[in-house]
Amino acid sequence: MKLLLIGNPNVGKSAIFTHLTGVSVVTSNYPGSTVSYTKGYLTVYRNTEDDAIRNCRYQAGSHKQKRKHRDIQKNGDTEIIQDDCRKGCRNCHRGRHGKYTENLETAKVVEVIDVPGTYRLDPDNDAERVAVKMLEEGDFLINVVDATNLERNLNLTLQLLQYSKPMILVLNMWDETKHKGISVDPKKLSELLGIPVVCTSGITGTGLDELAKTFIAHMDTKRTGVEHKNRWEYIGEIVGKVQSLKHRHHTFLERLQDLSVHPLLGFPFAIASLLIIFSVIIKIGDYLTNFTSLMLERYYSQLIYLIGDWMGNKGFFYDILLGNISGEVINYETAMGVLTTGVFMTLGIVLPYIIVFYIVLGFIEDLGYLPRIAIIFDKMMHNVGLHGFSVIPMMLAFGCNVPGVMALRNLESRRERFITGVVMSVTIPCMAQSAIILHAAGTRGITYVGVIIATLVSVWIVLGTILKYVVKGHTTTLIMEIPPYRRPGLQIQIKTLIMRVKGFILEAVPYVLGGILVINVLTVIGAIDFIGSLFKPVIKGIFGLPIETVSTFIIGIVRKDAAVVLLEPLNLTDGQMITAVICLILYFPCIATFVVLLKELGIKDTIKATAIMGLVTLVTGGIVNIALRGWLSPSVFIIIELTFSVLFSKIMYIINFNRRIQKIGLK
Amino acid sequence: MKKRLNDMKKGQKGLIEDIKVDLKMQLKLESLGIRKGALIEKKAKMLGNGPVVVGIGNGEIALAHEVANYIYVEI
Ligand SMILES: Nc1nc2c(ncn2[C@@H]2O[C@H](COP(=O)(O)OP(=O)(O)OP(=O)(O)O)[C@@H](O)[C@H]2O)c(=O)[nH]1
Ligand SMILES: [Mg+2]
Repeated sequence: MKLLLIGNPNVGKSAIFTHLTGVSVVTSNYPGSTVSYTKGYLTVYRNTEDDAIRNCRYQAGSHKQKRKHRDIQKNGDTEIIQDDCRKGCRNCHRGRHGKYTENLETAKVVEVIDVPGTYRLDPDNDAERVAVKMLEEGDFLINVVDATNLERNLNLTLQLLQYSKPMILVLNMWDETKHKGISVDPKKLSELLGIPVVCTSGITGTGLDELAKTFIAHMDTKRTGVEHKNRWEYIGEIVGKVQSLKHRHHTFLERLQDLSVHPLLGFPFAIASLLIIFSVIIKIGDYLTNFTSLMLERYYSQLIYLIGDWMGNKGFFYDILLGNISGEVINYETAMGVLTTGVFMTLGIVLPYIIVFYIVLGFIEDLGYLPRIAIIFDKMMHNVGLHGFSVIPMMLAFGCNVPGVMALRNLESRRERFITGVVMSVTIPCMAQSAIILHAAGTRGITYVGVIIATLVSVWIVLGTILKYVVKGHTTTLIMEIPPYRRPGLQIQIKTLIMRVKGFILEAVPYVLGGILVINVLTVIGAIDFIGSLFKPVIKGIFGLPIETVSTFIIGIVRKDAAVVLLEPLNLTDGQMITAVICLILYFPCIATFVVLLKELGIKDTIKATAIMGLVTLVTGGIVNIALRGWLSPSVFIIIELTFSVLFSKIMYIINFNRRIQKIGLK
Repeated sequence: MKKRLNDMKKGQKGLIEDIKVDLKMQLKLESLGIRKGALIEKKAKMLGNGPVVVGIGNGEIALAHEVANYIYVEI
């Protein structure tokens, strides 16, 4: 049996899903945080003294749980036998369900699906298309609505009621109705709509037990669809009967809301907050990494020496695992062993930054600031052929490009997806990469970090401007719901943070360590020199880099942070270092991003995107190489490139404006 | 008095009288509650033909300048 959580964007479907199934999914305060569906499972125990519902946790992880997961997927909604449940369900393992285990023959597994939000059933973006497709397959609908915004939400509800599927209406955000002075009568609403209505809060979890009970009571019922001719009229009638509003004073959050989109103050406010956000991330990240390096040096080094002694301080594995650890203290940056540099860079440098970044991102996501940034920067985004919403994928990309690319699904036209996807994967370094860059370039002076940032900004502007006029298709206009500011819930924040950090440790760290391993092996067997000689004209000729840097470009395909790590022992000049870092950011997204890009853009557009990346790298790398040869001070270069890119954008606008005028004239 | 949404002052309210955009856009606006006869309030407008923030129902929606220009409100 398939149970769908369906409703408008940003009403709390994912929050409820997490509560029901125990599977963590991202919730955030902007429309469109879920773009693809997530499945979870509920085990329903019936015919016991009191019917009960428990969630089974099937998070990927232990082998047993994975097997269980597969079994359930295979069997669909077949009843599961006692043995089976013991194997997979953590709760049953612990015997917390002792009472129910005798009756497990009657347990039934229900598949719960967290569907992307949609305003209507004739979709106009990919995320909504997923929702409508899922709807066809669902057996039971749980329509989650925002109780503080009944009118708009009921529009979808009435459309869902046309389907002959059993349905429950969930009035979520019930906690918010009180301080918003809105009161809704769920009983009357239930009578009018002819379906059960449950009031819940996705944040505190109140009402969710009742939801589960209501579901059990109605899971085998049938319903025939009803159609309403004058939908809005009928909605007006319903809302008039069930909702009453009380006047009340503005809260602090609401004042902040008005300030954030203030015509004059909104922009400086946004710039200031972004600057503060990023400098806080960098400052705290820096502080933490100093601390972790100290800890590693003090305690971890002992372990390394021990392993070294045990290996006899020489040999093939010694070189690969520990690298060059001679000298008074271990130089973790240049030792190049998997266990030394690999561990130091991932856990010592990148992890602290990732944690700080996601704490901050989680906060502004849940507060609801992202859609407001989208409004503020809407005008600016028009310069590169986009509108404000594209800011959201780009902000996410600063954490990791993968969720950034996934969020492209919220964009409506192919052109917007292409431009956003390319500009983002070319110019926005993920946090892991940024951490290492800050670490590597920071030691060479703040101006060099400035050069990197200014170059990326310039490429962003110039590339975006060119794409704006070259890529065919249309850009849609900004029409976006702006959720109210919400006080971020600490529990959800922590949960999301743990999920993201876990994701990094499980999915990224092994690749970095593996990458360093592979490069070490390739170097030992001499393959690097060979590949290096093939790319010599580009690397040496255009970028002015030593041949050994080729290894960084190879590993950069897998992980960018690992690539920058490999630059450190190469004794590069300042100019070379910056050129290499910039080229590494631009030339290719990491393989994980590439794969999702392929999925979101399709083969043809991804090939085009890859060609663009290559071209951009050649041009930019060449320019930076020449500029940083010493004849130009870095700060002057920063000013020149920024001025050039802004002028370029303006000139292109004027040229094309004239052309448009001419076109109209010809008509 | 009939006014374009763009020309309304901050804080002004009125009933939407007409939405002169193509059908696709009309449907999209309607799904968000912006339809003929709905009560709408202009809350803010970004400088330089930026988006307009309106209040409708109990929620807020941002609309591009081009769209707001074709929404006529009776105030
Ligand atoms: N105050 C309050 N906030 C809630 C409640 N339920 C969810 N939220 C918050 O509302 C925001 C949206 O929740 P999500 O679960 O991401 O919403 P969604 O329906 O999955 O949204 P999309 O994936 O964009 O369709 C998050 O910031 C949640 O923390 C609730 O009952 N009360
Ligand atoms: Mg969601």
